[in-house]
Order: sequence, then structure tokens, then C-alpha cells
Amino acid sequence: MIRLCWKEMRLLDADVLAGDVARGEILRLVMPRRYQLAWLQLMTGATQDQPQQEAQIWLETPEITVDSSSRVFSQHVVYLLHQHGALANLSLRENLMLPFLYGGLSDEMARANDLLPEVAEWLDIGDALDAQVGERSSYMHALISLGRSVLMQPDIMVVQDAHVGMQAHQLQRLRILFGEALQRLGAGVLYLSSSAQDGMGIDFCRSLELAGELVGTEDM
Amino acid sequence: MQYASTHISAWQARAQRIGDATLRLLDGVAQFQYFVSCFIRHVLSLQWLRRPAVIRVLIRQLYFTGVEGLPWVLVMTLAGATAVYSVVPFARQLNDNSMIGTLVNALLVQELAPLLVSIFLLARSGVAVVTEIGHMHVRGEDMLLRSMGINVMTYLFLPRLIAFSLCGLILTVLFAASSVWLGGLMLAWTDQMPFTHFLLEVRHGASLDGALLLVAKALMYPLLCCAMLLFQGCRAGRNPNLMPVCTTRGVLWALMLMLFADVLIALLRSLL
Repeated sequence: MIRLCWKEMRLLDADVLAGDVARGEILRLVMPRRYQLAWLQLMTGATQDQPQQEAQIWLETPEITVDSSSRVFSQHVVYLLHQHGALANLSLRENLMLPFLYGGLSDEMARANDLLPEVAEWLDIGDALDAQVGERSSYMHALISLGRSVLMQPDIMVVQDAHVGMQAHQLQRLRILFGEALQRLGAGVLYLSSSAQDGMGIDFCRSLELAGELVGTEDM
Repeated sequence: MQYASTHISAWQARAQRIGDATLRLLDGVAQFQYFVSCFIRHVLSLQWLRRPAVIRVLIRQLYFTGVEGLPWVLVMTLAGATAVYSVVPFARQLNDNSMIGTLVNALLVQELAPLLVSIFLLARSGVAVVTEIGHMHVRGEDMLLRSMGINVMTYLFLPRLIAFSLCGLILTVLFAASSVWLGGLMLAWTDQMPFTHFLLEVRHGASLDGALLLVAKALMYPLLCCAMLLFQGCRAGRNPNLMPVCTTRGVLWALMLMLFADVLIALLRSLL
């Protein structure tokens, strides 16, 4: 079983208990925005070029254990970040293909290239694939992240308030697309949300709330 | 007594300010040195060569910095040609035509060309680089790249640094060559000196050392400029209000760095 794990740690001024989310499981962590960003910085290894301290978040697979700063980790875990789904100076196609173009593995690139038209059609962005992203709405950022996730076929998806700040009809459409993507990928979801009421209509198996200190654990 | 204590505390406050500024400067120097060492490590690893995404950025940067900058460098050639044109009457006043080649090589090729082209790159592409990188940080695109396992140094910085160096070298050589050529034509046109005679004098004044110095300066000055601009661009963090500050600071420090490097090279040459 593939699991995303984290140890008991101090996140800004709050204590976080050790936990994990397995492939196929959906877990929500409710925390204010600044804690979300601190969590993401911890996961994405914001200090990539500096000597790594002991890993606080890691991925366990049946074969290996990889910490969050490694390249292998990013092949198994994808992110849907609020308003941060695309690079403004690249086209939609380049944004969707970026991890593959960077990785440079020809097999993976060919597979993603074959899948790209289908994914673009599914997201209804086929006509705009070669347009530069520029300034886009939260909805478009979420679509691009979702498309990239489907191409990457991850084991775990980390979602950070991706549904916030969009119109009702777009939110409804994103919920449907996200559900379809989850069904297709069977991935586990770690949902970082600032509201216990929100969450793209997903049925969370567990929801943990963090508000300065760990308030409680609730089974849904 | 009270006057003395006020006086001492004022001096202590001044010393504190000077100390703080020195520490900030040393911290900045250490961070910049770390940034440059990371760049050198990534370049030497050569892993970027097998990454199509990095090559694409490199090609775009080469186009933007080199190809689009070429017409401007050719316009700047007028300044170089004027310098060449001014050298000949000066050498004639000294009754020494052999000075022509020496002066053209020492002044134009080894000093003026790398400095002028680097300042041009700084003004044209450098400002674009620092604002682009700053905006990427403000928009959180660095976090997005890291979330995809993309190394920011390899993907964002390295292509820009390589493009700056390569374009700096090519544009400097073009600038120097076209300035000499145009200056020679101007001399021939005004009947001051036959074109071939002038070229022979320039050739006599040329040396391998001079050519190597030109290559070293043409590679190093734009590289230092770009490294400083990228470094300052990153310092904007998530605050858009810091963008103008970082841009101004980046341009000024890049200029200073280039001048320090020029002085250092001159000192080293005089010592060796």
C-alpha cells in the first residue's frame, strides 16, 4: 500500500500529530491559509538546494520510502494549489506537459502526449491548448492542475483550497471533473482546507482540524 | 556629564547602524556566493542537457537576449566606430602609426566592447529578467515548480545565465569586429587612412592575450550581471511592493559588480 506519511511536528505555532493518507483514502486537514502554505513549503522542499534536514513528510511504497524533497516523491504525489496551477508565460499545452518535458523520459513523454488530446477534450480546453496562460481564473488554474494530475497518474493528490473563489457553475463543474478524475486514478487525497464546511463535495473519511493547536479528530 | 552620556549613546547608535549594515552586506554576499556556487554545480552536472523543458527555456532566452538584441548592438556599433575613428588622429599626433593597433585593441576590444555590451544587456534583458523572476515569486510559481519536482535553479536560472553569457560573448565579438570594420571604412571614406592599411595596423596590435581577455570579460560580465539580477528577483518573495526596489537594487549591484570585476582584472594584470 502506498501511503503519504508525516511525523508529529511543529507547524508554525501549532502542533500536528503524526498521520498518513493511503492510496484511495480521502483525508481533510482543516487549517488557516498560512498553515496550509507552511505545510506545502514543507512538502515541496522550499529549501531544495540546501542540505536536507530529517524528512518530516515522506512517501511509503512497498519497495521504497522517499522523502518529500526527492524527485521520485513528485512522480507519485501531485498538487492542486489554489490559484497556482500554471506558469503564466507558458502555453496550456506546455503547462500540462511540463513535468514530462522536465523529466526528459521519452516513454513517459510519449504516453502523456498520446493522452493529452483526450484529457484536453475532457476538460474542454482543447481549443486553447496553444494559447499562453497569462492571468487566469481560479477555475482555469484548477483545470490545468487537474489535467496535469490525470496525465501524471499519481498515487496521492494534495489539494489546497482549489475550489475557493470561483463561480457556482464552475465549482459545480469542477466537482464533477474532480470526482471523475478520482474514480479514474484511484488516488488518495489530502485536502487542505480553511473551512470545515467546504471541500468540493467530497466525502472525507477523516477530517482533522488545526487552529493554532490540534482541536480534534473526527471520523466522518 | 549628561552631555557626555548623550554623546556616547549617539555614537553607540551610529556604531550599531554601521554594524547592522555591515552584517546585512556580509549576509547578502554569503547568499550570493551560495547562489553562484549552486549555479556552477548545476552547470557542471550537465543533467540539464537531457531536459527538453530547460532547453526550450534556453532557446527562448537566446532568442530574446541575442537575436532580438542584435539590431541594437549594431546601432551601438556607431559609438565603437567613432572611438576607432578618434584613435587615428591621436596616433598621428604622436607620429606613431603602430599605436593605432595597440590602442584599438587595448581600448575598444579589451575594455569598451565587453563593458558596453554588458551594460546594454543589463538595460535591455536584465530588467526583464529581474521583473519576470520577481513576478514568478509573487505569483507563487516557484512553489508550483517545486511541487512538480522541478528544480528552480535548473529550470529558471540556469538557462538565463547561460543565455546571458553566450549572447554576451557573441554580441561583444560582433560589436568589436563591426566597430573596427565600420571605423576603418569611415577612415577610408574621409581619406585619413586606406582601409587595408588600417586593418593591418589593427592586426599588428592584436595578441592572443587580448583575445582571451575579451572572451573572459565577455563571458563573465553578463554572467555576473544576470546572477545578481536573478538573486535580487528572488528577494521580492511574495510581496509585489518589493518589485521596484529589487529591480533597482539588482541593476545597481550588477553595475557595481561589473565595475569591481573590471578593476580586479586590471589589478591582477598589473601584478602578473
